[in-house]
Amino acid sequence: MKLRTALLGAVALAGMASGANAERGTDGHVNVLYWQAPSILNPYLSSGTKDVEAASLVLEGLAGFDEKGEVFARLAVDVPTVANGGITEDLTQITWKLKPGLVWSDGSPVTSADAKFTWEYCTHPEGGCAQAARYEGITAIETPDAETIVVKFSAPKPNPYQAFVGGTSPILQAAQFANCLGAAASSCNEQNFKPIGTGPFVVKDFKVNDVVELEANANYRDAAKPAFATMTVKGGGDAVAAARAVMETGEFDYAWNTQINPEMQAQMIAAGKGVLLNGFGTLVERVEMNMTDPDPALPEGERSTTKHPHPILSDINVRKALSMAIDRQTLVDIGYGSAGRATCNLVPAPEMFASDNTGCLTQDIEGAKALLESSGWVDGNGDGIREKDGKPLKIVYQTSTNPVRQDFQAVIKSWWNEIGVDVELKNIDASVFFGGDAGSPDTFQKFYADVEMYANNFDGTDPEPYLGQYLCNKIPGPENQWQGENINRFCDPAYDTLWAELSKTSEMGKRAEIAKQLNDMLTKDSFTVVSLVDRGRLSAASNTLGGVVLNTWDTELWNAQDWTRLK
Amino acid sequence: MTDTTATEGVIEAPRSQWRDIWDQFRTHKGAMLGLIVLLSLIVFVLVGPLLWRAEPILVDPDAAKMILSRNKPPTWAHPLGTDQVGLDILARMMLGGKVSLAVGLVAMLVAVFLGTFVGVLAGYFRWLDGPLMRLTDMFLSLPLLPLLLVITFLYGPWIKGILGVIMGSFVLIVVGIGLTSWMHVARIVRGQVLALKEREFVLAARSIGTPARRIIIRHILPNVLSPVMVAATLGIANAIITESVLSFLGQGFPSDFPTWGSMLNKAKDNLTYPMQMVWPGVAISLTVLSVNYIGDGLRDALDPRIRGR
Amino acid sequence: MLNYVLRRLLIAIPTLLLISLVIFLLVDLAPGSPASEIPLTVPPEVRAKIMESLGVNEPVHVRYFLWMKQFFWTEPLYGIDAMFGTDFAQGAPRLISYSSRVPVFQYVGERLPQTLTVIGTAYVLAVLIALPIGIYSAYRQYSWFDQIGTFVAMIGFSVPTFFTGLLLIILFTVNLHWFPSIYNTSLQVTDWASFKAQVHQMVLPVIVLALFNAAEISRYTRSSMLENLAQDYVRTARAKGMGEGTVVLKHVLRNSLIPVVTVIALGIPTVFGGAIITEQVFKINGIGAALIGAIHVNDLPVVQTIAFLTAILIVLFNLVADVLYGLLDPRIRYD
Repeated sequence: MKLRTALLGAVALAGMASGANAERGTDGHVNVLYWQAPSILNPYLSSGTKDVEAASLVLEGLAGFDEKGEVFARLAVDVPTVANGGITEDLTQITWKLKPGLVWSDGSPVTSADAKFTWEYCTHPEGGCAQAARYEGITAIETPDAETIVVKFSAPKPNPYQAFVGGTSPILQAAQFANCLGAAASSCNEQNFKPIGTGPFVVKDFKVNDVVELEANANYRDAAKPAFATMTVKGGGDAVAAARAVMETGEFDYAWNTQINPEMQAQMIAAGKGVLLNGFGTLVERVEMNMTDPDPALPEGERSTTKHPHPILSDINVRKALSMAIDRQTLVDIGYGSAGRATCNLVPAPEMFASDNTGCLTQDIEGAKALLESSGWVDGNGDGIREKDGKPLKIVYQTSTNPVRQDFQAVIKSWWNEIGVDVELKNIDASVFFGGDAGSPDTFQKFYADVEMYANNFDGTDPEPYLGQYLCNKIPGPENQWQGENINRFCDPAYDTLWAELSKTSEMGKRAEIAKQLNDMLTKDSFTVVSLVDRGRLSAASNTLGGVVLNTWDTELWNAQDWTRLK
Repeated sequence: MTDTTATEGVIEAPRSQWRDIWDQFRTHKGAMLGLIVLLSLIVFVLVGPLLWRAEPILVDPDAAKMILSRNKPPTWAHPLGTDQVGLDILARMMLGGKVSLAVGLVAMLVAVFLGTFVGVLAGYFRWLDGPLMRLTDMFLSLPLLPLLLVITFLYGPWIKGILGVIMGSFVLIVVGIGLTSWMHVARIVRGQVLALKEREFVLAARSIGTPARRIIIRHILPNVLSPVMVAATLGIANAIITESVLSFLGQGFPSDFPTWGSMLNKAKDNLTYPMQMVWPGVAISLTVLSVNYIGDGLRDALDPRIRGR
Repeated sequence: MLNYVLRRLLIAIPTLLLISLVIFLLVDLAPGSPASEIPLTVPPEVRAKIMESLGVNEPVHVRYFLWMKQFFWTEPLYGIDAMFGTDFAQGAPRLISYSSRVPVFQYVGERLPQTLTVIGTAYVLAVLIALPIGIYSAYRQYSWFDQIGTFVAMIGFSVPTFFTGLLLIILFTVNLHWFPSIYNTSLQVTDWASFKAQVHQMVLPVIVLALFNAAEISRYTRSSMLENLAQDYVRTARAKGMGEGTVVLKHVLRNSLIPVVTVIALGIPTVFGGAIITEQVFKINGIGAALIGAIHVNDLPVVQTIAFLTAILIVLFNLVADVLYGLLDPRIRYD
């Protein structure tokens, strides 16, 4: 079977499919395409989605997130809660129980020591662990017996489902990784490319940035799963080619993140070989307003710092007018089609945390003009650009280089020109823009521009750390090597107080209410963050592939064990 | 043979060398056709925008209108149709062509200037010959396309920061291509200079104490002109292709600013409308093809052995 | 002859050293940073830790010498170990990619077969097509065959490969579904069916590359043949009453091939450059795709190593061309 080509395999196997209630390995081969190829199968050494997701076929956590964002048990017997006694009343301790009789793919038993080792592995000071944030606040992990894992936190943790939950923090086999602690982590090739796991598949062959060949895990805990005997996760190409390979030529069964423009989506669907799945997570494309002055005439070290408030954008009416001039639905239609939806929120999901803030969805050019007019921004000299107190409405609008973003820039620029704002566009290569190099003037943290556009999201389902990015003490500046996360330099003591309250609250309804308030303070109350598009995930699945459920809260391959071949 | 007897009879004004070259050039059909095509393309990109005033860069601010005007097939209002954000492709082809041709021309000039400079120095001054030719060899040994990619990708943002996006990209690409393609010119020129140096007229000039600078400018440079011209035409073709490769791989000009290469790059993600890809592709191919034919014709015309025949 | 080869070899060493320095500095001193690939959800402290673990913060000269040592000493040792099962390297730190933490040489080794198969086939095919066309064009100069040959060759090297590639993809993959759109690198040729599949997926990229290279080589063959056909020895041979076939294929061809062989040898490294584009267009995960990918994520060790390996190839084939020249033309080697 392994000699068959991907092409022939897909066609031939469609014929010998055996229906849904199969035994393990009876459905033959499945081809998955990740156009950004997996480069490593250890999620602790790479934060790239492609790596985390490919690894999730092999490595699993105690629990995962389902398609609704709810926690469900994987290796654990059940999900610990305060109600079932798994979490202590003071929220400083969570106790997990492993399913009895669990074994690794090599046949050895899974024990609580593996979990403890994983924590030590990721928190080793020299390891450069990419997921260290998921283990933050853990003071100790105790293993009273082989099946019990007790995680202790230094402070009350309202959201304890971080360590060992989801594809980004799976459990490693202590025996395999014992010699890979700290600085040795990155030289453990065998371990990083062929980790031993508990997941439905086992790595047979791994070619860096190219292809992963997997076969069914003979020791998988459910004897009937997975239905597929072998799997290929192929990398390379681009989103369009990936979508085509599933939707038009049928060479592949599943393609990840096929972010293509709406016309292509329609064309591909018309070909009739597959479906485009879309789901929405927390990724929001937004325009961020700079509350400080980026004027190049200021001395280095004072540009875009809190020493100088922004001469134009400090006026909330200008920010509001800029937001009003944007037609978000048009942006969705140009760039994302069914994979996007217009939003005014910074936190668009999960449902309970999303504010009912929809005021920005209708474009109002005339209203924006009137607002500027009434707040003193008028075009005195007839050059089409408004000014006030001798300050013309001129802004620099930067983003990273990316075709959709440049289309957005061009369109938004013309709307802003319409209301009398002069816009200079600037696009910076992503490697520099997101590079965080304190020596470069073009990073998004330095924000040497008036407005900038990019997308950001948060891990998991809890927006607390995400909203915490807008605290006064997170403002980037020369004193912290521009490493803060409060890109807008937004600072409001009321916001800080409210966030502090959120971090102390454990009751879910209350948390949601506070999170919504915080979201509104940043968006519709102050227009500091002008959200544009809630960007969904768009993936393609063949009509012959059964059991696929798109999950935006965890890895897309979260239920690969349930995939089957349909007749 | 019959030609010579005929001209002996009539006393004719002395024919200039350039006249001879032109006469020979005209007999090369491919080269003449290439010249006509190239000239038409130049007219298209220079005069075209004066007559065809559709907007090539700014998107229509009226969202509804913009949405309706996207990806249109050719009509009278848009003879080549419109692109992904409703811009007129004909107008973009004109602007893009201007940039592509300008890049080709300027990059070639940079390469020829550098190459001639190095070649003359190496050929004329014995003590510079060794080091300069080693340098040329080293440049020839560099993996040029990968390096050019690295340079534009890694240094692009920095130069664009200093010179502005468009100007920065232009300078970067032109200098990049120039720096990586002067070596052949240098070798050709050096060979010519070495031969010329021993010729009587140069020896004579030197014997009356003419300074080296003047010998080079007055006596040597005019005589290396013809091989350099051939190299220059091929250099234009090479530079245009290189620019389009860079833009195609997304490392050239910013995507909203059209060049033929970047239009092609953008269109390849929008294959629902293959014509958006065909126009710039054909334009690049036609330009390079005509330039290559002109180079072929020039080589024949400038070679005195062939010209005599 | 040995003397001649040795002299060329000795010149190559300083050139290579200089190139290594140029490449290293050029890549290393550039702005941009591997940190840009880390998602925004990763907090800054973690980000800083990751960067530190990559060894990015050492001074430049330290990294240069470390790179040189790893390139010329550690990696060959590992190579020997892998071949003979020895342990000379003794776990010395290898050249590691930033983004995948894999040893760069292993990475390149995985990528090389794809590139070599596609490019090698295309190049051999190009030579096989180009030589007869070039010879016949020269022999029948200005005939219709020559005119058409010239025109096709002109088109061959005037139309950029990415354009021909895209056209072929639209036509044969998107519209006709004749060929696969994704190149399968894990296909192993073991029997007739897998061989057919391999040929099937190589057709389009090979056609594009072969057309481009054949155009150039046939032009060189033609002009070299033309030059020799006009020589006195050809007239002499014909005057002696030799058959036309012997004159052209034995005397003229042998003499004409000297420069052509050089062009073919020198063309091989440039083909690697051209393959970057072809691999990108046809989604072949070879060396070129690896380079582009590494450039995009600022994976400096991979970029430096691939660029330098290409430089070594160029120098090597220059050397081969020189030696061939010396072998074929005795006048050169005593120069």
